This record gives sequence, structure tokens and C-alpha cells, in this order.
Amino acid sequence: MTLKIITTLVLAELCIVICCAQSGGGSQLPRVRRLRSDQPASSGKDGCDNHPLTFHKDGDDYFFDSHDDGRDAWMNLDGKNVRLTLLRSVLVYTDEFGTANATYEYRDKRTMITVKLPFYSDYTNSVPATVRLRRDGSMRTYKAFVAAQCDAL
Amino acid sequence: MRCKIVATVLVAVMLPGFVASQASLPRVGLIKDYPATGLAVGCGNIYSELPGTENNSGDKYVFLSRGDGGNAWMNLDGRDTSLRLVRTETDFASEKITKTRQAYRAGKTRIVVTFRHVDGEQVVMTINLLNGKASRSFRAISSSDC
Repeated sequence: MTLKIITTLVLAELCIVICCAQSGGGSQLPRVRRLRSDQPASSGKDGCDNHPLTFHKDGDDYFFDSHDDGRDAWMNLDGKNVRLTLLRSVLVYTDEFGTANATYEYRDKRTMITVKLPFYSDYTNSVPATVRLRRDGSMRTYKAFVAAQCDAL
Repeated sequence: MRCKIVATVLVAVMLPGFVASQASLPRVGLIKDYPATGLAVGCGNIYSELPGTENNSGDKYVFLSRGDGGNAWMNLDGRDTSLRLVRTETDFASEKITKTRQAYRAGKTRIVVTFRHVDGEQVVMTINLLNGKASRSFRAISSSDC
């Protein structure tokens, strides 16, 4: 009898956990939209190694932009261009030429934003990236692309 | 007799592992041929000295690298050794760097260099050498050119 009650309780708790995880509490997280051209954004970036992110491969729907070191990062959250606070960057190198898997952790008020992308000296092709938003146990992940910024020589 | 054989076999199997876990760390010296590292030219390189040797003349560097952590050198077991950069972690506060941790490899030895920054300048660093369970750390003072 006791075992039955315990099993029922464990199953109920498991159901709640799964339901919460699936819903993601998305309503608490800000919506990500493309950067608005009529609002402040990046302070102008040179070169081919910046991190402008789009939702679509070879698209121009930029919703995030930063310098190559992760600083001066801007993102459109709930319709407003917001400058993100950089907390930490981690580069795990994959070769001796500086190519790496990069992770940048940002914060905007209570929202934590993690950007993961392949770190190259030049982006001559659009490459996949991910952006994850977290707040109060809610989480949402966007698949994105680092936009190509230069032609291959 | 059987017990003796089992014990001998156990010792034979376990001893090499035990010895390996007690791996020795390389001795750290001063870089002998600083110009050969290629860091005698250019800007933004990092020069690290042991505390108290800042005013000594001659080659006195215990660690050298480019500003981004690349092309790093140390003198290990009497040889100037190029370190392979594996990972860089940087902490920021108000867009300024507060701490940098760079992990390198030189053979089996893992070297973790931690810089603390004050007003954007690297000032104090800790160098940790790790190999299995063996570890050794020491402090150094770093500066940048240009």
C-alpha cells in the first residue's frame, strides 16, 4: 500500500517536472526579434570576425550583434534593442590557428543569454550558432547563424 | 604459494599505475633565448617575471605569450618550450576584463595561467602545473609592452 502511494507520488512529480520543462515557462522570457534600425545598436564594427546572428542561413534578419571578443553585444528583446552585459567568454581551441568553440554569457536584467558559435578569424560562410535564454527556471533555445561578412580570397 | 603468486601479479599490475599517478612535474626555469620565441617584436605581448626579479638585467622571464594567450613559452626542465593553448576563459565586469584563465598543454603537463586584472591591466598571475594528481603553483608579475 505504502509502495503504491510512493509510486503514485513519484509519478505525479515526474509528470509535473516534464510538463513544466516542455512548456518552458516561455511567457516569462522576452521575445527575440530582429534588431531595429531606428533604435541604437552596435557602435559600428569593422573586419570579418564580428558576430552578427540571423535566424536564417544567408538571411539579413539580424537579431544579435557583437564584436569578435563578445563585447558591445546588442540584441532585440521584446521589441527593444538592448545592450547586453558580458559576464564571461570561454574559448576551447580546436586548432593552432585560433579556431575555437566559443561560448559567451550575457545578462540583461534577470535574463541570462548564452551564445555559442564557432570562433573564426573571418566568417566567409554563414555558420550555425545557438542562443539560449534563461530566467527563473525557464529556458528557450534559438537556432541561429553567424552571418558571412567577407568574401573568401 | 597461490597467495604469493596472486600478490606478485597484483603488484606487477598495480605498481606501474601507481608510479604513473605519482607523475613528476617539470622544473620551471627562466626562458633562455627570449628573442627566439618571436615575442621580442610587436606589441601587446605578455612578459612575466618572478616576484623580486623585476629589476634584474638579462633574460628573466618565466612565461611569455602574445596578448591573446597564443605563442606561449616557458622553460621546462631546462628547455624553452612552446605551450599549446587549449582553452581561454575570461570574466568581465562592466565590459572590462577582471580575470583570465588560460589552459595550455606541454606534453603530459597541463599548465593553467590565471591573470587578475586591475583597471584593465594584468598585474598578478598564478601559474599552475598539473600532471595527474601532481600539481605545483607559483606566482609571477606580468606586464605588457607598448
